[in-house]
Amino acid sequence: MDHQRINALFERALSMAPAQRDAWLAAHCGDDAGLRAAVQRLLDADARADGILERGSELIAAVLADAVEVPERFGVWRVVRGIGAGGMGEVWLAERDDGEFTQQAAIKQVAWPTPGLLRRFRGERQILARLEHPGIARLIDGGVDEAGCPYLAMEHVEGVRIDEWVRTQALDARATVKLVLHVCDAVQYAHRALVVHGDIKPANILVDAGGTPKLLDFGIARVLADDADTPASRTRTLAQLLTPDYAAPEQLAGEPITTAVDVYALGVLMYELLSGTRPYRLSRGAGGGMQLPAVAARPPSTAVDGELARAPERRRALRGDLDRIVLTAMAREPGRRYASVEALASDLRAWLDGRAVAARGDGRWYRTRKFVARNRAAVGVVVAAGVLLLAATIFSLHAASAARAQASRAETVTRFLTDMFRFADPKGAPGGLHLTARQMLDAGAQRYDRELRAQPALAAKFSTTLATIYSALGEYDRAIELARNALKRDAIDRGARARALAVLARAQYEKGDYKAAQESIDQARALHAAEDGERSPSVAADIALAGEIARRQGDFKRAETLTQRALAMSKATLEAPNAQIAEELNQLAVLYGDMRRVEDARAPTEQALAMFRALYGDDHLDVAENIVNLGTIDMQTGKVEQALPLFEQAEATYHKLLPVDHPALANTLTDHARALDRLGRYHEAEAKYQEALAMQRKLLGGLHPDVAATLNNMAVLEMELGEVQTAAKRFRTVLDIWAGQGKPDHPLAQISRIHLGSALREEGKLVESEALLRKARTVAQKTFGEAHPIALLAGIQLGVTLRQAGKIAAALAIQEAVDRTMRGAKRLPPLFKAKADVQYALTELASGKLEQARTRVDSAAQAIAAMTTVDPVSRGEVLLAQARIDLAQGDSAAGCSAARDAANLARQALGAANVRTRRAESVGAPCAAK
Amino acid sequence: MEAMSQDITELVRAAGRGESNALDQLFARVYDELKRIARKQLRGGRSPTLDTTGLVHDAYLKLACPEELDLQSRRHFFALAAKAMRQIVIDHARARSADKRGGGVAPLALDAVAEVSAAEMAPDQLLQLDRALTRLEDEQPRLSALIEMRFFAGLELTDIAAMQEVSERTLNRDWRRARAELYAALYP
Repeated sequence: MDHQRINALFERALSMAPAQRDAWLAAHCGDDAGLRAAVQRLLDADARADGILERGSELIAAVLADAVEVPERFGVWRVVRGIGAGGMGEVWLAERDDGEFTQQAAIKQVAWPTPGLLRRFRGERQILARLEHPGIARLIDGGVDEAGCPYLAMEHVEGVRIDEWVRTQALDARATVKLVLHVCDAVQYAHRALVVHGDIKPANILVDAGGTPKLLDFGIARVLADDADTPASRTRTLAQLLTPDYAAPEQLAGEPITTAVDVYALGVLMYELLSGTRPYRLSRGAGGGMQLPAVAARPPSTAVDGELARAPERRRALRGDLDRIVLTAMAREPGRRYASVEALASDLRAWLDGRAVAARGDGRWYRTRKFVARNRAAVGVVVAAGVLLLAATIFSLHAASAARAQASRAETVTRFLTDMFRFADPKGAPGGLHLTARQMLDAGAQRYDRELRAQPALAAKFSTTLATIYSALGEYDRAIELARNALKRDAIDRGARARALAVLARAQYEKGDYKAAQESIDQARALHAAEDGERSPSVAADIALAGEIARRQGDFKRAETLTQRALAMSKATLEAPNAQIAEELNQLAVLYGDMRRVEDARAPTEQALAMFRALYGDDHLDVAENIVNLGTIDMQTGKVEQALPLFEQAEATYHKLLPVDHPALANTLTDHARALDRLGRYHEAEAKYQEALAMQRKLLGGLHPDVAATLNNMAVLEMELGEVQTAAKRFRTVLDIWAGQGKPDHPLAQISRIHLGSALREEGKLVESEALLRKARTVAQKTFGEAHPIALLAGIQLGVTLRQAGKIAAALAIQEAVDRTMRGAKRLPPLFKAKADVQYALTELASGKLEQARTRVDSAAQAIAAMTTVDPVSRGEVLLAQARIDLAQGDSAAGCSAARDAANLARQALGAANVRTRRAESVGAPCAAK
Repeated sequence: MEAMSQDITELVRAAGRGESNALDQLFARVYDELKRIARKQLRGGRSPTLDTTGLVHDAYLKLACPEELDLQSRRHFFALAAKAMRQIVIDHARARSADKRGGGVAPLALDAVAEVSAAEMAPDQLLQLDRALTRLEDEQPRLSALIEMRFFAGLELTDIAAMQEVSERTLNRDWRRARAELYAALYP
């Protein structure tokens, strides 16, 4: 038969609608009935959606399912018996006799050995063997069996899986949380040692008879999975190795394993242990990889299943804070999860103690109203002689502090509930003294309805008050429910209704439901106006909230109008100092920050600060945060000297009021260090950075991007101080962290890479420097475009390296290109521009273009002179360039004077022994000889 | 005993040149290796599941030195691995089928699938597939090779297209036809 013909007809027929095929076939086959039948047969077969071809692996597996052989030994280990099989492969119990004593181990054989595995395993083995923690099963040994397959010998743990333990011991929510805290402790320990587990799941956690959980297979997932180069093949490897139910979304996508992955898995683990169900059923995606369903996980309290479902108190225990902690830990975006296992553990402890937790369910940590987005990719410009450096800068303004708010809220709650209990039960609540504020609140929320049945108006009021408290605690759903409850009551009067609506609007706004919030606040405002008058403080507060809603939606113009109006009304009706006025001033400042009108933010910030001070005194977090805001405004507007004492002051207050380590304090320390750096107080800056770094490491772990940012800034400082080798080492650490985060080309990593290129040059490694900078420039141009500061920086630094390597023409070409691009670039910091000009001028000098060099360096000097705060190293650099050009032009008087000034400046800022001081002196050396 | 990857590279090249001795040797090696890996995979899991794609890739990594093989040799290797996999599967299917039924193979009706478990059906279904594939091989060898690679070696169409240097569209068309031919033969 003519296959080609059949095939051609079959294909054409497939391309048309089934209904048309018959007629078409009839027309094209003519009277060749055989041909037509053959095509029809194929079309019919094609219509069969499912058949044997779609079930290949299933069928093949079924026929190949052979008996499993048990090996006799693995190296020195003699196999006793099989223990089981896991995703990684088989597990055997084995013994080793060395004459004196017998050691037991669990031998794991990797089911899918890959070429890179052994190499990586040897690399990681030392790190893994260093992990010594009671909660971690140790890695004892590893090797290759006779067939060349690698195996691992792990400490053999006698115990039961954690999920089984929780079930058989019938642990309640508190005991389960305590157990999980032990697990967190072990994971935390490993993270500090820079080891990520990567495959936390019930099967990997055994609980011994004493109730202590022990983690198995630490770091193994990483050894196994880092293999593949492409995300696709990594996904495949992972899909084979991991239990995908516990793998974080980014892990399923084949991205490298980070600490955030462990936080996620701990979240899923808690979900399962607490509710008895897993949060998701995974499905296979289009590419063959596993994927999460589109819908978010239900809160664990609503998913309680199995035996637990019969105990109603379990749902109650989970609802609220525990729900939120679990869901925060297992947020899909790594950035919305807890930043570290420490943070997760600390919230779990807070829950145990009945304190307010930090998780808010929406990924926001602190009740900061951010001034300028805390975008760590945002870069500012720092300086150094011979090199031009970018440092990571962090600007943000905060408002009401979470810590403060939580503390005072806890008091309010206690007071309110104590009153309420007294009211409800004159003899006092049973065991009342032992109840935490939180427990009392929850109990109150359950009881008020019944207790106050006879007084519906009062019940409505309580309901509203409870809604306010839950809203303040971040439990918006509950707050919304309670506020609605109040609104449903017939007995509620107009004023109470307005209040309930305002509370409802606030909770809806916090939850991000802006449309509903807008409706509620409009109603509240109308009622408040009718009840209290058009221009009353309550109406002002409603307008202010409407302004916040507009701001969050990005409608800055409307936000400004509304906030200004609210402020004017509050000022007219309330007597200053007043908290409402202060908060609205703060709101206005935050709005200007969002609008990048930094200078306009100053006045409201100063006023808010004065008012908070008058109300609360100096030792108050609202005061401290507005002081930090003021310092940030100063820094951003170039008034570094003014910023410095502000940071000092805020820091002192934080030290008094906050726990020893706190994010707000760590952020202020880095701001403070940056200010010192900018002022040329390098050694003090260094000490501050150290302090901040230690705190960040404690709070965030060693691998966090914030730690990388601080390390980068420290290294920049070391470059300024001429400690080139130390700086180079640190830049490499920064790059390792980013690589470990799976973001080797993050903007901050790119900056550090360029800095490393500069450091290498200063070490005299010109070839390496050139190669690195060329690559960095290409990457930066590709990522950001050539006019971006990072791309420009790479170009400038490459030019300097080329110049020092004697490749003057190439250096000049690059400097010219950079200069041209820079002219077209908008909003480049003037100092950046000036420093680039200095380097360009020096290249021109090297190529003999003395006149151009002269003009360029002078204009750079003028620009720098016009700036308010320029650090001594930068000023010295311009002077030194001027001196060189003067001397080259034969103007020894001007040249010698400039060289002298530069040397003096360096001596003052850096000390007589510093490299830069000596370099400056060497430029002026001919003058001294005369 | 252990195959050095250089040997394999040379064997693949020789087989590619049509040297039948090399082809036989290579087939034997790939056959053994696939069998070994398959056993490992199967005893790793709780229920028998098999990742055929991973299996063949692993055999490839284990036996061949990927950097040394050019595209043509890779093509040969995977085509051969698919054949070897088919051989392994059919050998097992034959043994199993003979065990249970005393050699005879009952004709396979599509409706019967629901009544018998996959494991019980598998040997016979696979043997039927094998026979249909052999018939197709005589008439349209390209299509039968495609089914081999897809079904037994678990290769994705994208990968096959890249290896054969044809467009995915072309290969999709081929696949649809191959599939239709096979189903037409299997489920008349």
